[in-house]
Amino acid sequence: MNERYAPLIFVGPVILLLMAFNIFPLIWSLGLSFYQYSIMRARLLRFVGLENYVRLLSDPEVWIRFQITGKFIVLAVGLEFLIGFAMALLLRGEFKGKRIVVTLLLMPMMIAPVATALFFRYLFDRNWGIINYFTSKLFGIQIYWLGADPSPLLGIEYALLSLVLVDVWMWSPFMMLIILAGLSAIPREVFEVAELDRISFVNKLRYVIIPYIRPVLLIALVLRTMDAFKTFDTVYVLTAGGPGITTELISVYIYKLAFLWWDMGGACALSYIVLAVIVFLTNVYMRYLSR
Amino acid sequence: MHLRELIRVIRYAMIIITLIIYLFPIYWIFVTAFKRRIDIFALPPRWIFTPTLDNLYEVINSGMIYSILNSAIITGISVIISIILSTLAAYGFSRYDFKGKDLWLFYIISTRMMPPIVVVIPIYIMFSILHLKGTYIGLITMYTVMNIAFGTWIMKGFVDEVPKDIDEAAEIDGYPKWKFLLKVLLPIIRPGLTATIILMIIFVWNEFLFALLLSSTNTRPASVALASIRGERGFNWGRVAMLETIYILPVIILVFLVQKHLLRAMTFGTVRE
Repeated sequence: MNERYAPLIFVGPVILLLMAFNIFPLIWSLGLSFYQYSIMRARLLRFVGLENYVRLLSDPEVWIRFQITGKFIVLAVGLEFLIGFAMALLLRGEFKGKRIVVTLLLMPMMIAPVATALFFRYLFDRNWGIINYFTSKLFGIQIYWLGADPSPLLGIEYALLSLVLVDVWMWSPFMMLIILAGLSAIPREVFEVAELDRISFVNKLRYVIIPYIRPVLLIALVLRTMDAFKTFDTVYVLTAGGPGITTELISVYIYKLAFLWWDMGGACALSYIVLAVIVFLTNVYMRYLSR
Repeated sequence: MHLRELIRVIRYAMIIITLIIYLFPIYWIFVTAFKRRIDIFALPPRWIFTPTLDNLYEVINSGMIYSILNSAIITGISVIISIILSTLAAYGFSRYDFKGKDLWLFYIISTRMMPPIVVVIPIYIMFSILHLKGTYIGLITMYTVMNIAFGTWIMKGFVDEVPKDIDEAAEIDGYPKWKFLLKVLLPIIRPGLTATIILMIIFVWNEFLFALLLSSTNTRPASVALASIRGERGFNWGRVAMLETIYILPVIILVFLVQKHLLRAMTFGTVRE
C-alpha cells in the first residue's frame, strides 16, 4: 500500500459521508436561511437576504420561546447540578455494591427519552397517576401536573415544572457520574490533611473539594447546557409544547416552524440563531469558570 | 465508634432511598405491562394483582411489534457499517499525518455540540428529492453518519493507547496491513470496541427526531410508534406499558454490559475514570 494514499483509504469513507450528509446539509440550510422557501410549494424560492433573521429577532413570539427555554435550562441544569453533586458525595469512596448502585442510577439517562416521557405522562396523570396518589395521601392535594396553573417553584407553570422534573430525573445521574469521576481523582492525602485539621464539612467542600474538581464541574455544566438546548423528544411526547405554549422550547418551535407551517427558510435561520447562542454560551462558561 | 456506625447506616439508608426514587418509575411501567385494565385504573393503586399476558398478545396482534422489528433492522445494519468505518478512520487519524487532519478532528468533535434540528431540515428536503424519505436506506444512512463522528472520536482514543511499536513489529514480520488490523490490533482494542458498539446501538435504538421525519408507516421504528400512540382513541396504558417494556429492556441489559466505559463515551472522552 502506498504510504501517501494510505490515510485516504482509512479516513476517506468517513470524511466523504460527513461531507455529503453533514457538512453539505449545514451549508445548504445556511443558504436556505436567506430564502423564503417551503417544500410544500416547490415553486416558492425567493431570495430575501437577512429578512428571515430580522423578522425572527424582532418577533415577540420567538423571544417568548427563548424565555421558556431559558427558564427550563436554568432550572433543569441547576437542579441536576445540585442533585448530581449531592448524589456524588453520597456515593464517594468505596462501599459494597457501589458498581451495581451506580449502574442502576444510569438507567434513566440511557432509556429512550420518548419512553421516559411517555411513562411520566402515565405517572403524572391527573386522575390515575401514582404521583398524585402519593401527593394526595401525604399532603392532601391533587395536582394538575401537566396543566398551566402556576406552581410554587418560582411561579412557573406546572407543565413546565413537570418537564423540568422529568429532565432532572433523566440527567442528574449524568452530573453525578462526571462529578464522581472528578472526586475519585482527588489525592487521598488531601482529604487526610483536611481530616486532621478538623475542617467542617462546608469548608471542606469549599476549600478542598470544589477547587479540585472545578474543571470537571465545568465540563459537566457545559455538556448539560448544550444538551438541554437540544431537548426535543421529551417535550414532544410529554406535552407537545402545551398547554398553550407553556412548554414550547425553542427546538419544538423550530420543528413547528419547519414542519407545521412549512416556513423552511425561517426555521433554518432560527436554528442558526440557536447555534450561535450555544457557541456564545459555551464561550462564556469557559471564560467565566476556568479562570 | 458508635457515631461512625451510625453515619454508615444513614449513608446506606440514603443510598437505598435514592435508588427507590430513581427506579420506581421504571418498576411501575414494568408492572403496568402485566396488569389487566381493571388493575391499571384502580384507586388506590394495586400493589398486588394477578399478572396477565393479555397486553403482550395485544401488542403482537395489533402489529405494534413490527416497529420493534424495524428498530432492530435499522439499528443492526447502521451499527455494523458505522463501527467498521469508524474503526478504520480512527486508525487513520491515530497513525497517519495528512493535510487537514486537525481540522477534521475538530469538526468531528464539534458535531457533539450541533442541535440535530439544524441538520434535520436540509436532510428532510434532500431525502425528499432523492426519494430516500420513508425508506430503510435513508434512515440507515443518517444513523450511520451520526454514529461515525462519535465512533471515530472514541475509537481514536482507544487506538491511541496502543503503542506504535506493535505496528512496526508487525510490519517487520511482514504482516499485510489488513491482517495486522484484524489479527493484532482488533483483539487489543476489543473492550473499547464492544463498548462503542453498544453505545451506538443504544443511540440508534433511542433516536426519535430523524425517525419521526424520515420514516413511513412501514419503516417506522419503535420510538415513533410509541410517540404516535397518542393519536389513537384514549390511552390503553397496559398496551403502551408492554410496548415500552419490550422497547427499553434491551437497553437496560446493554447498559449493564457497558457501564465501565460509559462515562468516557458520554463525555466524548473528556472525562475518564
